[in-house]
Amino acid sequence: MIAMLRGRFDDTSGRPYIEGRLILPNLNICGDISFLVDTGSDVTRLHPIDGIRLHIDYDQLSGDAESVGTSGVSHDFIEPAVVVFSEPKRFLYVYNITLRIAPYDIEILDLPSLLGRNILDRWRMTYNPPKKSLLFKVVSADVTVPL
Amino acid sequence: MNTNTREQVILNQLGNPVDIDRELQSFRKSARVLSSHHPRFIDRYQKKWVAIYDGRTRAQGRTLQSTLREIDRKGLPREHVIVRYIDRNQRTMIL
Repeated sequence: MIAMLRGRFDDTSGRPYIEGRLILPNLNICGDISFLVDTGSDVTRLHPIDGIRLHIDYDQLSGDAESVGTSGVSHDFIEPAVVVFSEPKRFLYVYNITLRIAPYDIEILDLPSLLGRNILDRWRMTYNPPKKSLLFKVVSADVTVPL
Repeated sequence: MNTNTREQVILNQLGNPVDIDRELQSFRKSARVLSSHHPRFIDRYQKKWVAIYDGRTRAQGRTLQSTLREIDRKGLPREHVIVRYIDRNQRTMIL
């Protein structure tokens, strides 16, 4: 049977999302994230809407990774992370990544966190908004856990 | 670190896989509720932050912080709550 994850399209904005579990071992933080699927992003990036919700202490963060977007240059924090996606009652797919954490900025407070190509490249996506179908065939994972 | 050791380190960080699966299913349910009910949310919660947990709206507020404080006050687990800002005039996103 093919390993498949299911995303969703937001009814109003039409934006593609997938939900996953984020674990930041060094900060002892764990929580669920609704990631915006962003094939234009090289990396997965946590935005303040989720960072604040998960009680991240921004003063404790380290690293300075420059990233550039349409709104200019940003200096992100860097944190080792584990991201988990579930195929209900079948498998968990686990990815060990270096997470970018955007600094707190009220101007981007409503922006969802981004799932970038450091994970998306390991899937094959079927993107069909008219049918409200967003599927990801899992090609590889760092760890696959049977349920 | 060899592959098996690295996998074991990751597995140790995960916790109970069955719990993760169940909690992620619940979180997805909340996300879908927010998504599919969005049109009526716009009228009811225009320019407010809304928090959904286990498929139900649990808190609202003028700021993200006040909405999260309400979630804390109700003893709900922030880590499994989805929060969104509701606005009829949604900003165009170019990432």
